[in-house]
Order: sequence, then structure tokens, then C-alpha cells
Amino acid sequence: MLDTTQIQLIESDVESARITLYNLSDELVDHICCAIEDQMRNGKSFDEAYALLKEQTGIKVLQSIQENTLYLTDKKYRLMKTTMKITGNVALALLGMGTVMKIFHWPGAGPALVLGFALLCLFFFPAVVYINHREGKSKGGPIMNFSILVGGVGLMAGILFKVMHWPGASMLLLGGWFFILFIFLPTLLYAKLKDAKSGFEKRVYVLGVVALIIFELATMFKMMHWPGAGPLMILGSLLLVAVFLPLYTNMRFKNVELKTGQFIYLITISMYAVVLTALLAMNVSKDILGCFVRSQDNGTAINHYFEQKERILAASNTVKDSVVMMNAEKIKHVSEETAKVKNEIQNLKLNLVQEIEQVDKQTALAAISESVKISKKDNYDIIDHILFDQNGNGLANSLKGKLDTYRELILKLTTSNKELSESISRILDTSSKKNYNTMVSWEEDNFKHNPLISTLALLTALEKNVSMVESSTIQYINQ
Amino acid sequence: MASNDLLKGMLKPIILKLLFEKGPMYGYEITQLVKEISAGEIELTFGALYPILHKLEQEGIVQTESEVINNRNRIYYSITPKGNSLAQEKIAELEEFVKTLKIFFKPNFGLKFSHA
Repeated sequence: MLDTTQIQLIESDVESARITLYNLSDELVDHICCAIEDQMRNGKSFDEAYALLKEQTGIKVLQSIQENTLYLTDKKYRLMKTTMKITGNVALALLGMGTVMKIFHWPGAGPALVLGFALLCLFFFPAVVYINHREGKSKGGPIMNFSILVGGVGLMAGILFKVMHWPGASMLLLGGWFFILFIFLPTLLYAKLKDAKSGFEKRVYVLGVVALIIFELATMFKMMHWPGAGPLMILGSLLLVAVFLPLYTNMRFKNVELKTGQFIYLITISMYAVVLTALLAMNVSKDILGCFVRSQDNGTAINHYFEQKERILAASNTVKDSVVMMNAEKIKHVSEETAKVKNEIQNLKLNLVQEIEQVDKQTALAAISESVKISKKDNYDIIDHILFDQNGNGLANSLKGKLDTYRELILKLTTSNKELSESISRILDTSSKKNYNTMVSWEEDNFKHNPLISTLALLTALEKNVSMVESSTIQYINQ
Repeated sequence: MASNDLLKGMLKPIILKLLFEKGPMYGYEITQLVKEISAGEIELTFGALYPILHKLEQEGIVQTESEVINNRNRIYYSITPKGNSLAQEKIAELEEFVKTLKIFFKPNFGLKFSHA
């Protein structure tokens, strides 16, 4: 006959298999005890007999008994399990196909992605949460189930909205993150702490959840284009991968029987997370950044030419002095106004490079004329911060105002030549554009979420346009 | 030993017959008895047994009673009055089926073919 400590050992093992079904845990404990007692009557020790039995009936077998019982006795569970299997497979196929179609720009990518995500959000995910709950795998109770359900669906719907450029994506993402960061993860931590057997284990769990919260916050910052995502992400992923994961695997797999499958799964998933994070953190691929470097340097060269042009051409000026005198006033005015606008653009570039690279004026100027020297070419968080304030009245908006005034001035001067004034008004156009059925202002269309290097190239091109307009206008006045 | 494929569908009537004749029994007892009666030919694993017992309980054919034995809870299963007739029906059905099955092992299926 087994003593109380032996029975308690078996009970705790059955409990760790999360057998929650009515009567079933008692039955399994009794069954295991009976089988061990039989073996012991044949002369084996308790330890031997239990080790032998465990080989045949590990935690997985106990769990499968519960799953089979639920499957037989619970209609809703059966339905959910079928739903989970079918919608999971179909959604995966749809999302996979959708992604491939999106990459190759084939038609039908949108509907495939929408349908896949809808299946995932509305059927697969709720079914998974329900099944986990029924199998007793989620220990945090209704709050945890509710928060992961709402948060998870919110996040997935948010990603879909973001991919499809539907309005409201940010709200969904933020809402989903709120539930996961501030309700689900703390409840998970609470449940884990209640389960923890040693102080070391407790500290590992706290570390894990804190790392996860930092990591998720970083992802959220990244997706919302808030500044500070980079350092948060580095901190979060370092804590998660370099500190928490080794401690956790060491703790989990040291004494327990070797669970190769689970271990491989854990490592693979972590690797995916790290690689995807790295890709996400890079913002834009290097090749594309290289294109903008060339475009920026090319633009700088042209602007340099325009600066010299008036001086070079003045030397070989053939226009009569009397005419020059007459137009001098007008030309001086145009040159002054042009200089003001160009100054504004140059200051903006300088401002951006200095803020982002954290360098002095001299270094920033050198970097602008040879943009390969810029190290944070793909930064757009700080740009957004500088160019746009909360009310949409940032520097981008004031630049637009200056361009508008300049354009009006030039149009007034060239109004007698319709073709010229129309070209100029096209070159200096700052009107809003229609993008995915919503009106987007000129400054948002050009500068929102635009990496540093392409923003510089854009500003340089703008400067070039202004110089061209100046040159044509002066030429027109001189005729 | 009988394969799982063959046993499928037979286990329910076998369990019912045992409970019908021997009265209240607990899980381990059932598995051991099946092993003993079949001389080791039929192995009823606990993975197969408990889901069936819970299903039968849900259908109201068997009922449970818990008793503390050797410092642990033991769950006894017995046939309910309502399940009595159903159990008999199932047992009879199995018997009938076995009879039918046997025909297939007679030479010529017990038929006299005329070779005219």
C-alpha cells in the first residue's frame, strides 16, 4: 500500500498535466496508484514501479485522455475542436496565398488576406481560447481568457486594417495592445507566480514578463511610428533572448525528462521572433536607401550649379543696360524671395540631420553634401516629430505656407505667359492628393513616415525646383 | 492480442456486461478483469477506458460513487436503473453480432453450394 507522500507525488504529477475534468483526476491518481501497488507486490520498489509506469504514460498520455473524454462527452468542445482544425488550416492557406499574391502584385491578394484574417479572428482564435480553457491549460481564469481573446482579435484585426490601409487600424492595434500588455501579461505573471516552486523560478518569470512587456511596447512604438522604438526593442529582445530564454530553458528542461520536441519548438519560435524583429527594426532595405543617396547627391550637385549659374551667365550678359536697369528691381525681388525659400529648405535639412545624427553644424553640412556619411538614413520617428506637431502645424506645414506664398508671387510675375505660369504652378504644386479614398495633405503625403535619406532627397529636389523656377522667371523678365 | 481496430465498438458492450454482472467497479478493476477474462488477449488501456466511462455517465447509463480507500478517492461505476435495459440491449446486440460473425468462419459459410 502506498503512503501519503507517495500518493501526493502522484497527485502533483497528475495536477501538472492540468487534468481539471470532474472525477477524472481522482480516477487517474487511483489508477496509477493501483498499477504501482500491483508492481510492488511483484517485488519492485515504488520508485522503480513509478518510473516504469511514467515511461508508458507521460503527461501527454494523461492529457490525451482528458481531450478524448471531452471530445466524447462535450458537444461544444467537439464543435470547437473541428472549427479550430478547419479554420486554422484554411486561414493559413489563404494567408499564405495572399502573401504570395501580394508579393507578385497579382490580383486577389486583398480578398484572400481579408478572408484569412477574418477566419483567424472570428473563428480560429476564439476556438483556441475556448479549447485551452476547457483543457485547463489556461490557469488565470476568465480575466485571462477574456483579455487574450479581445487583445488578440484586436491586434489581428489591426494588422489586417493596416495592411489594407483601412481607417481605424491604429485604434484597433492600440486597443489590442492595451489588453495584452496591461491585462493579459500581468494576469499571466500572477498565475505563474502562484505556480512557482522556488524564489529563482519566481524571478525568472518576473524577468520574462517584464522583457515581454518591453518587447511588445517596442513593437507598438514601431508600428505607431513613435520615437524611441529602437532602444526599447534592443533592450526587450536582449532581455528576452539573451537573459530570460537561457534561464527558462535551463530551469524547465534540467530535471524533467528530455522533451526534445518542445525544446526544438521553443528555440525555433524564438529564432523566428528575433529574425523578424531585426527585419522590422531595419525599416527599409539597404538597396533602396542607396538609391536615395544617389538622388540626394545628384540634387545637391544641380543646386550647386544653379547657385553659380547667375554669376557665370552675368559675365556674358548681352542684354542692353537700359533694360537691365528696368528689370533690376523685379529680378532683385525674385532673387531675394527665392533665397528665402531655399534658405528655409536648407535650414530644415540641417535641422533634421543635426537632430537625428546628433552632430554639430559643420558635420551636418558635410553629411548633406555627401549623404553616404549619414548613419541613420532610415530613421523616420524623429523626422515625424520635428516636421509634425500634435495639431498638424509642424515645420512641414510652415514650409508649405512659404512655398504657397512664393508660388503666388512668381505666378503674378509670369501671368502674361500662360504656358510658363502653368508649368510653374505644376512644379510648385502643394495641393492635397487622393490616396486610398481619403484626402492626404501635401506635407503628409511627402513627409509622413518618410526615412531621413529620402526626405533629404525630396527637400533637395524641392530646392532644385525652386531654383529652376527662379531661373526661368528671371529669363522671362529679361526678355 | 486483439487489435485496436477490431476492439473499436466492442469496448462499450464489454464494459456494460462486466458492470451488469459484477456490480459497482472502479476503473483499474475493470481493466484488470478484462485482461484476466480474455487471458491477456484484450488489453483495455486506461486511455480508452475513461473516455468511454465518462460518455456512459453523461448518457445516464452508468452512475458514479466516490469512496475514500487507501487515502485516495476511488470512483465506482454502476449501471443505473434507466441504463439497465439499455445495457441488456447492447449485450444482446453484441451476442447477435458475434453469432453472425462466426458464420464467416465456417467452411463455405455454412452454405451448401450445388455444383450442377
